[in-house]
Amino acid sequence: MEERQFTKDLKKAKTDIDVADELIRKYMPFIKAETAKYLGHYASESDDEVSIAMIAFHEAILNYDSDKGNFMHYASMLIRSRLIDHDRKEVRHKANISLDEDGDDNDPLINTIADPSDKVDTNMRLEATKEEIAELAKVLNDFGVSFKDLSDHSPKQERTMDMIKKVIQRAKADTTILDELLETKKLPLKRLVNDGGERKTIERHRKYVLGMLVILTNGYEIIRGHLWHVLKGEAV
Amino acid sequence: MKYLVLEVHTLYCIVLAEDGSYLKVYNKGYEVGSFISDIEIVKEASEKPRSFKRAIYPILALASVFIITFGIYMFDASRIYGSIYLDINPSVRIDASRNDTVINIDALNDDADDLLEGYVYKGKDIDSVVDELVDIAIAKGYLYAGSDITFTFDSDDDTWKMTHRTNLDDKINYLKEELQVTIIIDDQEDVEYIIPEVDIKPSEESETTPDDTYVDTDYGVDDDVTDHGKDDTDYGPNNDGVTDYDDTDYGPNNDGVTDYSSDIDDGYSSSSNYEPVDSQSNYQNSNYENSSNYDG
Repeated sequence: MEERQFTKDLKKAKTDIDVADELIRKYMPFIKAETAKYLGHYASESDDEVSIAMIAFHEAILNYDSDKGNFMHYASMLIRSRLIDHDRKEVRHKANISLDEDGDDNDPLINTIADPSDKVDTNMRLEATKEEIAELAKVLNDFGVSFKDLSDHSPKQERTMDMIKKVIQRAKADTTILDELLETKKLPLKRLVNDGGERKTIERHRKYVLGMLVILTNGYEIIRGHLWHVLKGEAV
Repeated sequence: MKYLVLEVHTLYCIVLAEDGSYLKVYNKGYEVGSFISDIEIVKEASEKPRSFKRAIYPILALASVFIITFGIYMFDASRIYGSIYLDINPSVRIDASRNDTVINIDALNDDADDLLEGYVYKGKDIDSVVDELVDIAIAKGYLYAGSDITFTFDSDDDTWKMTHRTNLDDKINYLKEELQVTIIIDDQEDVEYIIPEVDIKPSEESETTPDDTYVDTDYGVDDDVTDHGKDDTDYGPNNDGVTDYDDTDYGPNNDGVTDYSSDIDDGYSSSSNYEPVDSQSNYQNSNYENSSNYDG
């Protein structure tokens, strides 16, 4: 009975990431045990290797079918092989990294090492960001929109994104649009679009545009700063 | 690109990228509110491509196996893998591909042209071709009792040579037992002689046992005299009626007389190869002794 449920969940988890997430939470002890078996010592969730094992377990969920035999054996095999891949990559990367080399955004790596005096600032900033995100999640929830919805419906085409940027500029230019949005909990489409083509595109990405407009309202300075590239520009 | 972590699950996180896109990335111990740069986007099971993949891979695999097999087959089919030379008097070379199909027969002399006239080898197996050509040689009178035939096996593959040698066993037995033909098998490493046991009628002149027939052998190192001359034969149509078993130049029965010139019977005088040796040999008046400049 339990096995049949597991098979069902496994099938569902292929397309529903939250079912996969639930399965992984359930099998985290297995994932950690497999990692520990490979490492030869205890592995905690914060270890890189556990992340790799977890991703391998997800890969196993996605790729598994009954002709691959027992799922746990398959997952165990995949975890092991991904950990080996990781080790090989590590050996190659470890070879030579200098602190004077460029890190992300061309900053020398040495600049990215945390200064202890910055720690308090960093913590404060983290807390502030968390608060903004929590607030944004709450407001979006009022509109019936979740972060997951936004990730499911994120525009991918550049043309769409350009159109959305125009709409954002219009909303920035006329703050009453945002007021109307917050009041009615509806996207004031008529005031945002110029023609039928735009209307169609924006309607299709209603949730995403709504999310962007909410971020434009007061109280999301950190997130707005992060999205500076998207939100900049003049109204057109 | 920097990403702001918005939501954290066990497996994945939802992040907001600088370019405004929301992504699901694998959770590598991230915390809500942190900015990250090294992300791994969550893999998704895209059902359609997967089923397409599933369908196409076996087809591709099958197709490539087919192409490779067919290619090798075609390549092999046109390549000589081994040859069998038949030497009676007509000499032919039969070339076969790896799958033993005859791809070419070469006539190595005029008699061979006659032997092969009208013979179709196309698509035939090399063993049957050898078998048939031997039969034709018998029918056309090239191969008869007392004559000999040489089979030479030529291939880089020793197993190939051995296999075809074995496949010829029946034919060789027939040639030996029924036709009394001497068979020489040359696999280019060893030469094997198969000499029919001659059914010798006890002769009044000879007190020797039939076993002594083999004392005067042409093979191996015993003597340098080849007695293939068909004229001095004691059997078959050219039997000269004289068994010379006592007239041996070696072994316990050595009579001490080398009779190369004096003991010529009718057969030798007409076609022996040894007569010219005696009359034209330069060994006696060699220049080495009389006119060498090295002496002084």
